[in-house]
Amino acid sequence: MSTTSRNSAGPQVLEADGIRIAFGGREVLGSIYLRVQTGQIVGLLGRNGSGKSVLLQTIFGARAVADASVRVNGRHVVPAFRQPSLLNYLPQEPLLPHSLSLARAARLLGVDLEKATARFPELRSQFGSRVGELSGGAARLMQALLLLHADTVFSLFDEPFSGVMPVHVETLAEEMQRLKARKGLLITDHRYAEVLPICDVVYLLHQGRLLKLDGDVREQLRDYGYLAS
Amino acid sequence: MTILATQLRAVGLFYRSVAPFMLGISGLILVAVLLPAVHEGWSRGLLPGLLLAKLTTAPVVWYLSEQLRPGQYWLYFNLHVSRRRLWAGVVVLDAGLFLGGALLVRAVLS
Repeated sequence: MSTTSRNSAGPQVLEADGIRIAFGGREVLGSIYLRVQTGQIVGLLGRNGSGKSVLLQTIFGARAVADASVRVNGRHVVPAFRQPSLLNYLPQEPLLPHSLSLARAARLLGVDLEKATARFPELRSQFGSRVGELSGGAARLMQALLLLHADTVFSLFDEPFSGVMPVHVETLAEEMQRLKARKGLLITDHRYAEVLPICDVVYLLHQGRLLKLDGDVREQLRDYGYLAS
Repeated sequence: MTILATQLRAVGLFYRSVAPFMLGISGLILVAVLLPAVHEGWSRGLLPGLLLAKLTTAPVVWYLSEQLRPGQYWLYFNLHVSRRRLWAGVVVLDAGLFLGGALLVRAVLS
């Protein structure tokens, strides 16, 4: 990462605002201010179609939005993905080509596969496998682990727990907790029961507005119609 | 691994995904145009035109690739490579392979 965006004195701060997106005349994202800092796991919740993935992709820089402002320590970084070692993004859809082997993917991303899977010993027999040869859950878990362990300051995860079996979800959540010491994580996932306990900050996307939830988060999620009970 | 090396590997990996299209077109041009031209003795000065014809097919491959695999860029974005840089690298690599193939065909047959 370029020296101008490193902040050796304290946590690195990622901020995004000015993001306005409409589809077919319907405003999906309108009033957005989001902040993530290293040492934090930030949860982003919202109903289907509320714009969570679009917001993550815009912050990542894959989606060009006029007037979008994404800053790290106050410095404008658009598109953010072009900044080496700044941030990575796990999309909802498959990240890796099916023909790519895990070992090669890890080399490309600069990740030590042994370390990344230290808490998932059953994955080790699959290092030589191609991504397309893994089960859906194992592929998802491997992709999340590769990005989690990559040397970036921030990681944006879109549905990291999707398709992953419960025992691995718990361990992956613990890994996220452990690695937030050197990273800022922004996670969106409908498995709120797993997401909420690990989050330091929770945002809810509701009718185009990004609301920061304080206090009793579950009660507010019920009030906004995200939870039934 | 340096950033440049990673980006070159990314371009190489991406080229593999579009190679069936691009190499297929190259093969077609070489077999259908260059080969008869060399045999019939009118291949002199033909290469720039063939290269231009080859380059004009790149947008078609780009369009097909976008339509068939819209989610193919996520890994490359995570390697800090933009679409534009990826395709620029692929076109340069493919043009180099095409020229190399054309020169080889001409050298072997003439």
